[in-house]
Amino acid sequence: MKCEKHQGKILETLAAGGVFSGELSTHCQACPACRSFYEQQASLFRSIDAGLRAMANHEAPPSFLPGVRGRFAELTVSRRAWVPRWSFSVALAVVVILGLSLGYVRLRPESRPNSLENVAASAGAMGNRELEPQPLIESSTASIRHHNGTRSRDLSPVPSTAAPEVIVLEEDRQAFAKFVARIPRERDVALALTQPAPSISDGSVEISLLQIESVEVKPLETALADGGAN
Amino acid sequence: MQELALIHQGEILERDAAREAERSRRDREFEARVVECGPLAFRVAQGVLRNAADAEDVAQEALLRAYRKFDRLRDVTRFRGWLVRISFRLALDRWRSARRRERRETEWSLPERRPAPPTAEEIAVSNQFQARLEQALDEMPEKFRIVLLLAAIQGYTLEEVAGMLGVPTGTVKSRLFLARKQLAEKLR
Repeated sequence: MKCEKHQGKILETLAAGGVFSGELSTHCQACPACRSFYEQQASLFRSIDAGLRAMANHEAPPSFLPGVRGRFAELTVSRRAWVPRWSFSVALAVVVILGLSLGYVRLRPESRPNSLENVAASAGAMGNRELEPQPLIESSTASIRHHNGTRSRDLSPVPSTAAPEVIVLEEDRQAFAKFVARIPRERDVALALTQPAPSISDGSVEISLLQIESVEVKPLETALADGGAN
Repeated sequence: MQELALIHQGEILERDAAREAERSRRDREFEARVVECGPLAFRVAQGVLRNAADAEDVAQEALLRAYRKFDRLRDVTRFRGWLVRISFRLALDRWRSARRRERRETEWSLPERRPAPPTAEEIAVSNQFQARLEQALDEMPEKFRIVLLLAAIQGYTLEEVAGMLGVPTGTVKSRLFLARKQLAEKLR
């Protein structure tokens, strides 16, 4: 027990790099086990110190300081030349942004003036040949172009490769073609389609019950025929 | 008006000359610091990386970083400690990434491509203790590692090491004591 205690002290003294106290020194001289322990541990610590010194005291190679000076020279040159490089980068960025924005404006669907005519033409081609749209009246197209809003964007033809295929019944197709053919002739319809939707105000809304006095039921075909006659 | 313009131009020239003089004074001062502390930065990096080429590169990088921020250093006497810390941190980063790469390559390499294990003779020939010491040092916490390295560099007292690390001398002593004890336990 006494030796264990002394060996612990030996370790601590060696790790701290200190000097042995009188009592410890006396014990080591008297006890062969502790003396042997001390010699082993002292040798270990000497090896550790020698190893660490070998690791930490490498001379810098002769190329070190010239290398540092070379890198400083590069840094100084690049620092002095930062203004032209910076201005070149900005000019390049401006050119790229301008190019992209111009390209975007050209490719935008609403920038195409004949979108409505295209719709009418394509719808006509889809439907019956007889229902091909008449050439557009100049006055109505002018107003349509003027009010070229969100709805006309929805009507612009989509490339067939990008759009999913939709199966439409023959009668629906014909009705749609007929409807589109009427657009240039009826100004109200055209305006309703091309004007942007009115903004919704947050005002209070009054809801009252719908009152229907009389209901007249007509067959659908008759109603369509009446509408066509009008 | 013309006189005013001339006076103004003269002021600008004077200001430019003063700025240039200040810059060259600073460069001279930094050059002196590089000559004084550059080798120390190299030793710290070498102590961590144990590869002269890598250590040279890291020490140069540390000096460049120090140069870029030299204006911000108010107390120039702290330059040495500052550089030592930059160098140690950069060296550790490089050492870690090298170790990660090494591990990845070992994991991905086919068994037949792996280097053959050293023979008994090779082990006997190589300095086994040094290898074990290096491995034990690599496993130590950073704060112990740098204290051991700096204390082992010749020519610096513990007070100077404490100054470099910006900690009290007592802290350096206690860290050194614990680090040496841990090393001895690992190598026993």
